[in-house]
Amino acid sequence: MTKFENKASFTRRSVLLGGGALVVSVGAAVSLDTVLSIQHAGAQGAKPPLTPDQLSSYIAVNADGSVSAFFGKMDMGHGLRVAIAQMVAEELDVPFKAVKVFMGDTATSVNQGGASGSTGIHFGGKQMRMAAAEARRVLIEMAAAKLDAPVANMIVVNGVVSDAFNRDKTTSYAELIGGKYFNVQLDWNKKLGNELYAPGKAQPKKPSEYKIVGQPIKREDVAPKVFCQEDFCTDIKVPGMVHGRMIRPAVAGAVPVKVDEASIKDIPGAQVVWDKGFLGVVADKEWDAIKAAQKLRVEWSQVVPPFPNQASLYDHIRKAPVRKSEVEQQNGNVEEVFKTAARVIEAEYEWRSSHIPAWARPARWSRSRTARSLAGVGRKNLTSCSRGWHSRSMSRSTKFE
Amino acid sequence: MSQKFILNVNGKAHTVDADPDMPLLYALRNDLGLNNPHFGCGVAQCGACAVHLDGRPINSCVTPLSAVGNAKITTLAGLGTPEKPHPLQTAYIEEQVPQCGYCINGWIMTAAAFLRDNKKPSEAEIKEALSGVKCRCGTHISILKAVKRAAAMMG
Repeated sequence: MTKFENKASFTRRSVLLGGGALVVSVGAAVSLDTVLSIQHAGAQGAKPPLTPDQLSSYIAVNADGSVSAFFGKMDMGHGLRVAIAQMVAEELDVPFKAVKVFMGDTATSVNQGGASGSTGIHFGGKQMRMAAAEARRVLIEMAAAKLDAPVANMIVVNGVVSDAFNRDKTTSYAELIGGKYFNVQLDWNKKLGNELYAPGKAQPKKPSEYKIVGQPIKREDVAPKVFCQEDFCTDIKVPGMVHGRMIRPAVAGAVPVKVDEASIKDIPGAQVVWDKGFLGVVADKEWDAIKAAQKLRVEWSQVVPPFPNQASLYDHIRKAPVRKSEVEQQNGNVEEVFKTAARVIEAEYEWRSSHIPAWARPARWSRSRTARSLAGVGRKNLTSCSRGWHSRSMSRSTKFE
Repeated sequence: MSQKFILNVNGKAHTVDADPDMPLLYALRNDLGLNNPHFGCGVAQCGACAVHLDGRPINSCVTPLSAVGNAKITTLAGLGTPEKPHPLQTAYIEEQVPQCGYCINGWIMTAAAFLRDNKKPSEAEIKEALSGVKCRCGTHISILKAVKRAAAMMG
């Protein structure tokens, strides 16, 4: 743990341009003394821990006034880097280009969950917005204290804070906290991943006030990809790296019984990796690993595939016990509405997907929710179904009775 | 048994000591460190590994070194640079085509050879020419826009 903390501190410190590890403590009320005591806090050299309840875990203002946003998810080409920077810039009232998003590094960000289902904004963006809004609130309090003016008078344009009624009174985020850490406690819900939520006291802006969010801003990762200037994971090579290939049985559930290592002895450096049901080969060169995987003689156990008979798959699903039935949301009374409907259309849907096979009957066509609740599966699973390859091909054969 | 091959890649000659059966893809990626062609399917079904052999797009994942001979090999990096981009590269950036970008190589290399020989292609012709390339992110509509844009630039 200590080692991790040190690494985090070091990394963050190097990110904050020449900032040193100063800490700005901000309580309910910020006095000028507090602001002036920054130097003393700095002397401690401490940084708040990289925990979800610290504002510093999400936002830092660098010495030059630029902003670092530490996002605990990963952009896999969805444009999250742009979107998160827009949200942070919007709430902080700094230019979009002033925000740099750091992500995918556990040493600089908290665990905001994985990248899947194109949910990065939905699950991860909310927290970044709240953190940025809180950072702005805190900075405005600090500015008001420094300028000796009411908080309500403060206006922010591009990271410069002024007294709306006395424009000579002005300061900036860089002057207030640049290169130092926030030391502000957030109200963390004690959850990690997608559910992580830790707002401060600030209210975020209303969508009608947005100037940066909603603007079409181009991604910066497209050109490097088009010109082959950046590596994908599979492009990375490290010293001493060997190449591996897994070897899988032709029948699901079979495990290796006998592995003839002599069958690959003529391939330089090729070795068998066998641990119970897992079988693979490694070699110094990728092509050698591929050849070894092809050549290795394996005797597999004889098993019956653990799948229902595909020809009678839907019968199997119909007869399968319902393990969980859940109505996620109930709006009105579906049965009552059907009684007075001008026309009721009934249909039976059968489809299989890469995630779950689903069956819904009788799926009376009110809304898809009906089918979901009758099928006894949650929204999430069914949404996945509708996007699977198999469901696409099967949906063509859906017939209305 | 490994043997020596001289590969002419992006205008430079490289010597590779390898199995004649080894597909060109592994020589480019591992021996020459050219990561632009990607391994996608390994069975010539997706195009992520496409390179040009004497200007023709081929799937390098199934092209053994023994079949390469003296052909001039061009990879995506050899097609254009930030300073002197190929119109398709410019169009890809303008249209913000990719999501993950893993398959970019296949589309651009295949489309580059196609546009070189077809100055004013119809949409149907573009689709037909690119039918062997796959994008799992589903960016096909953007790809089509970019190819049309590049065709107009090259027109």
